[in-house]
Amino acid sequence: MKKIILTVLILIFSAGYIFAETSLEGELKSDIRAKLKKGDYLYNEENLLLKYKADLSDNLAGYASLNFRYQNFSSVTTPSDLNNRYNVEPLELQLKEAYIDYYGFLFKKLDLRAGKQRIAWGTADKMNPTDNLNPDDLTDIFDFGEKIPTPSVKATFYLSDDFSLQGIWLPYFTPTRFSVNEFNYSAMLDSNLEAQILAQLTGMGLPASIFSINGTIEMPEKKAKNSMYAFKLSGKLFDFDFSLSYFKGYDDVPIMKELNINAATPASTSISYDMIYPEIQVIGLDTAGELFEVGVWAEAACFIPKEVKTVSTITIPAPPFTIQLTNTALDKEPYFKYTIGLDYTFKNGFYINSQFIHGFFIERGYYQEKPQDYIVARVEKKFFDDKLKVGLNGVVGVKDLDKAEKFKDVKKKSGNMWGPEITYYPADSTELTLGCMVIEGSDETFFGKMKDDDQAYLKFKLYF
Amino acid sequence: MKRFKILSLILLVLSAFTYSLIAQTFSGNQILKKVEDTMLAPKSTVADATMILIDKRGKQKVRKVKMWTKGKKKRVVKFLKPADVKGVGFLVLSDNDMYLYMPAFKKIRRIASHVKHQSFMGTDFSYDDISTTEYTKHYTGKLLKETDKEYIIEAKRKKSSDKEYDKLKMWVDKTSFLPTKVEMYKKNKLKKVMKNNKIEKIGKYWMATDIVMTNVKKKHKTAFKLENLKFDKAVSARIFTKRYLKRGVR
Repeated sequence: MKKIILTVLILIFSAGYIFAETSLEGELKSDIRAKLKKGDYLYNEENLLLKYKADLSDNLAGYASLNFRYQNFSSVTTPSDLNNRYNVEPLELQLKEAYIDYYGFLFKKLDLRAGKQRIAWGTADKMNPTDNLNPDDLTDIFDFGEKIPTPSVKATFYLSDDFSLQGIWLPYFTPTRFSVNEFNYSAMLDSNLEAQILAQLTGMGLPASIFSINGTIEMPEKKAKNSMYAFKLSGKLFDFDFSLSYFKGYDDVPIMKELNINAATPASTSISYDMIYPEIQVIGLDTAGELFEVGVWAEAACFIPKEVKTVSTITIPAPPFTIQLTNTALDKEPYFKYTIGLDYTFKNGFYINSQFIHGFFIERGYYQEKPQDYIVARVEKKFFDDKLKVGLNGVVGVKDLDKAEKFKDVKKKSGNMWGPEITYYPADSTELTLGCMVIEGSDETFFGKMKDDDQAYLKFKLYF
Repeated sequence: MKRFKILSLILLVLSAFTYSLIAQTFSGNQILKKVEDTMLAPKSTVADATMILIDKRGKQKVRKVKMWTKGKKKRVVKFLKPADVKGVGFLVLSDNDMYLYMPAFKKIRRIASHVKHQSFMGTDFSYDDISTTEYTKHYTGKLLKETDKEYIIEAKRKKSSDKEYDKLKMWVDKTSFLPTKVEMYKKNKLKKVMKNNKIEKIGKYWMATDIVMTNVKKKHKTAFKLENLKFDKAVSARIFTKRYLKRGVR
């Protein structure tokens, strides 16, 4: 597939140069965040995105985008780190997308897109439970809804102006990418595991000292039989747009399959674990329209996972024996995620956008990671001939809302994040944003875990 | 015989004069209908449009779009400049059937009709201002004055209409039946003034190709210029679809 992408790129650039109408555009972005209380820097990103487009004919077009990302900070702890360019300057070059569009491929009503591409499904804003074809890009945990474009072939057949049928083939699996700082997945995983196991060992009267934690992840084998595919029927009924979709593939966040705790040495314990990406099928439905001039949308997905059981083997020293336990990490019973939202612009220019979300991007199943409930809202207004935009963002997350009997229960298990934001547009295609986020809540919740990270941010964007 | 001939001649002149009087005297509603018919005469159009936004200090910003229209309702606008909106596409199929294609998100988003009173691309035109001009559906016209060159009419909003302006005052050119100037009122306060600085006949259609919209309160204006106008057969029906909205401009 890499050779195909390279071929596609060469084709686009050379044909574009010779025959086509081409354009080179881009975006420059800068983003820095610091904790409100102590001023510790939390995040830094400088990003240059270059987009190359070539219209080769009425039916053929090519597109490629390159991302130069300088993300986070220098990380030097030993003299040898100074020899490593990435430790000093964490710069990354990413081929974001590279694909060819063929309009009217074989048939007048059939469009084809092949290559590394972002396939965006769903009508909700950012939190799309039906959007499972590309894995999540969680390198910036606060930039919800970002995805990694992946190699695929997408065919769309237009049955009429309103109805279309789409088929997608993704030849191989790509996992979610996590942040190295704010949401360092491997560090959090090891830390949670360590805490749980220490508690268990102490309870069993065993030495509570973890010597090492080593994890491995098994990716789905790169074989045609492990490729992923999806279908979507889109149309319109009673003035509402709708889509019905089906996806078969893998969950892009790994889950534990095997855990080995070796407490054989009196002084310390070593842990090793093995993770896999569970197979899933997703049936999705979304719709968008308006009621009394208010924009409304709803999106729901039924996830049907393949059951995953975690086999835990604990080896203890005296008397020497082994215990084996099996827990269900992911039940085969289907679970649901959905988003319902609305937006409206008042005559005085105030714009409001609000969504109720059941199930954040990495929540799943019926146990520890089960979908929770969130309300997200944003209010904004522009001033001074659209030179200034003032906004207020907020999100409240509640754990186990379905079990709450009183408001007190809700408050006890809720976390929230809110903050004002001002964007100034000094000239066309430039924007400067200053804002802050205050995070509070119970440690059990997604936001509560980040409550020490109240932060201010400064962002700059330039389009060309 | 001679007397008969003179009498016939007088009668002929009188009837010609009377006929011309009757022919030129329209009611306000009739003039409004003629304006609407002139504006909606082309079955479809395509044009390049440049919008220059001028603030009260004279500072300018430029917007460039390509526009297609079909019939009374359908419109496609593809944004070419500035860079932050380049590639964005806007499709109108009816009053409450609008879509926005955002290339950054690779998504077509349904837009609810609450945006219609909001500014289009930061200009002094609202989405409603650039949409259909079915005046007789929303307004009742009354002739205020007639001169050699133009009719001055007042159009009052009908109770059933949800248009933003409750009153329009129009100066309508007698040759083209296009307004040279429109004042837009809300609760008897003058909100905006639109001037068609250039009206020309392109092929068989009269078009306003140089329009200036002024926001009276903000003292901000937008100059809207149309170029490369083509009509009817030159505009394919497939353009007014979500499929085409995602494609680049050629």
